Amino acid sequence: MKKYIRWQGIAGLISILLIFSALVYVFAGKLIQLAIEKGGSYYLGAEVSLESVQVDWSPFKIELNVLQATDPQQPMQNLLAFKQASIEMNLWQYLLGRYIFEDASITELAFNQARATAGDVYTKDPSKPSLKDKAQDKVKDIKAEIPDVESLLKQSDLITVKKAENMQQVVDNEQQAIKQIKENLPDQARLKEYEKRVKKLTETEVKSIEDVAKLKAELDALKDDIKADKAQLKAAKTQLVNSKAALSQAATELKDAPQQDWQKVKETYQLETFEAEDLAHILFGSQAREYYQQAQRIYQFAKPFLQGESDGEGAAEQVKVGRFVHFDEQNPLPAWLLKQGEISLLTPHGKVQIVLNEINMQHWLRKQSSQINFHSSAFANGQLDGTVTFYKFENGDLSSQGQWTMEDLKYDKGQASGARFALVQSGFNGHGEFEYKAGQITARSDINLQQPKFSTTSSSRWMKQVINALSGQQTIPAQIRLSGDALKPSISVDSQLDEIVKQSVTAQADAELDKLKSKFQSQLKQKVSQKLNLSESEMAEIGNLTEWVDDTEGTLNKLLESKIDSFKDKQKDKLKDKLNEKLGDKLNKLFG
Amino acid sequence: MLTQIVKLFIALNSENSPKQISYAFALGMLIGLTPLFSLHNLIVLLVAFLVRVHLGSFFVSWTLFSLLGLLFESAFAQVGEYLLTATSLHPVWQSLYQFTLFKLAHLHHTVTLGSLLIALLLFVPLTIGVQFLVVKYRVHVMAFVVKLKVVQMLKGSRFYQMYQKLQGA
Repeated sequence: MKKYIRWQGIAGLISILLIFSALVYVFAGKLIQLAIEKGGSYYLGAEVSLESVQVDWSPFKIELNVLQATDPQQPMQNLLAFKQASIEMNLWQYLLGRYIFEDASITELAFNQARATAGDVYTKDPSKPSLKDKAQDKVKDIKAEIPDVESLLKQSDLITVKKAENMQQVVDNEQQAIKQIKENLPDQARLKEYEKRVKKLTETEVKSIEDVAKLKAELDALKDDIKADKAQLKAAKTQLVNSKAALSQAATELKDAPQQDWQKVKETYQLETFEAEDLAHILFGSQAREYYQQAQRIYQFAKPFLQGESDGEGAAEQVKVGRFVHFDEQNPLPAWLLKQGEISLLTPHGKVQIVLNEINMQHWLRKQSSQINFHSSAFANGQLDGTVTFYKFENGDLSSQGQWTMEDLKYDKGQASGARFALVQSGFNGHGEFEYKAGQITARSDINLQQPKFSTTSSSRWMKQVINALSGQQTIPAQIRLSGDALKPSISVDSQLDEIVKQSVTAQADAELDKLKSKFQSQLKQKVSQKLNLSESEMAEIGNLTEWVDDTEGTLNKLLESKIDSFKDKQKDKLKDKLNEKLGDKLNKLFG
Repeated sequence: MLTQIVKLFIALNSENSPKQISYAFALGMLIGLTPLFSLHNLIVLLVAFLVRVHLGSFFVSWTLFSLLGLLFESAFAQVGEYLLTATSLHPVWQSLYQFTLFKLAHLHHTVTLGSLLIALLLFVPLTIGVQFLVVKYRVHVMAFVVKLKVVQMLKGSRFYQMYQKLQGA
């Protein structure tokens, strides 16, 4: 037995395992800290610091103290920070391939908070704008002011300008073509010459066969000359028709161009739909979009953790390469589960307490929904409450409901916004609810703005009037609705803002728009008319020329058909008479 | 690592049985190809330390097969995925899953199951193959290798002498 068994080896193995366990026990905290700091920094591209990590083994609990993750775009700001986070994990379930967290808490969690000193940034791609930058750009993009005529006319891509240039080009081309035609056409002198030649032919006395042959040759030469000129005239006629068509088309296009430009301006500056409804969109819609974008950012962040367990039986989470495949059991547990948790979130408007229950993505296993409750008694000097529940079905469908209420919230921006139209100060009361099912969302929020104050950076007179009218209101109720695809919902806002604006200033705004339209179009027409005059004079010339060509052609045809034919007949008659005379003399001699 | 290679070299040229070396190699392969923190590897370690196999060869093999294991990880995962999701095998897994030991051994993990199965299939052929190669080495190559200057230098080194002494003790 001793030949095969090495008993001291057991001691060696136990020693190694003990040393390994002792090292893990002693340095677990440091190892976790190192992993979070290094891994976080690598993932984020900026400094991630953690003050300390404490590990308790029974029950297994990890406590992280003071974490700061630098914003790589703004090193003086933290992307995320918290004072303390703890998580209690079921180690036995972990050994069986599941991540079951009995309890979790995060205290003083804050996003986008200022740092005491700048954090290190390891990678920075200036060409890649942050989501926040993108959101700000969108706000700036909102064109809430009517543009002025001068800037519109200065635009190089006006259709009118292009069509006027085209018109000029067409006129130049056709002028050149007509000039060439004119040079080749028979003039009055040539026509007179033809008449003379015809007259000469008709008056020539035919005495012999030779005379007839000579006359025939001259006649053929005349015919050829006339035919050649006729061909020139035919070509000229075709060219004139083409020139006329080209000029007409260019003129029509130029005439239509100002209207097309106006359509384009209306679309670009949203003038057609720029009504009270848009003001409501600017006010609530952008705010709603901002909140929704935040929710989407959270969703995108959480998405990798939420996917991968939708296949029902035999589904599990991705662990690098390979995965755990779970099967039916008596007391099934999801691949990961947070039984309960609490987060105290610090926002610019106040502290929000979030309570989490049964958070996982395989709800069908325990037949319980996940629940998130939030509450704040000092949110913007008011009270905020809400509940969100969600349940993922075995077929992968996610269903979620939520509701919220807010009372006496005070909104005060404090400083003037860069937006052309913005809410500066207001009281808020409201409630709302949402439902999500299979990728589709329907949400409704009823909000009451109390004693709102608005601001504008626009110098437009009528916009200032809008602001005054709105700021004078005691309350403005509004309903914001989200519907459709959860990732691209359509947002509609129904607010009394519309009525207020319509009653007070819409008429004036319409008048301003009408003025702008007429001024813009009249200035464009000025640009157009000069070119159109040019085209009209060219058209008149073409008309005259066509007339002349027709006359000349008629004259030539007459010459060819009538005089030459009569000349032919005359000569025939003469020859016939001569032959008759000769024949008569001979007959008289024979029978006389 | 250098120490382990020297140990392997010494073992190849020593009186150690080819079986001791080949079993050590196969055990090293088993632990190297499969995920380290698995229950079966604790048993493999226990066997390697308890049974008189050549530990130097075991560690060299472990290192070499760990590298191979990384290369073939996705292939192991595919094998495991195929087996664990095969409809015909579902009742087997379903009943095995009810045992805590099955789950504790992570045999419901695709990489663990795939790699363990392949390693077990390779265990006997590798043992026989290595044993055969060690025997052949000792007959045909060892005499030539021992005469090499590098080997002479190695054998003359203080490290080798010390190791020999310790082994003798």
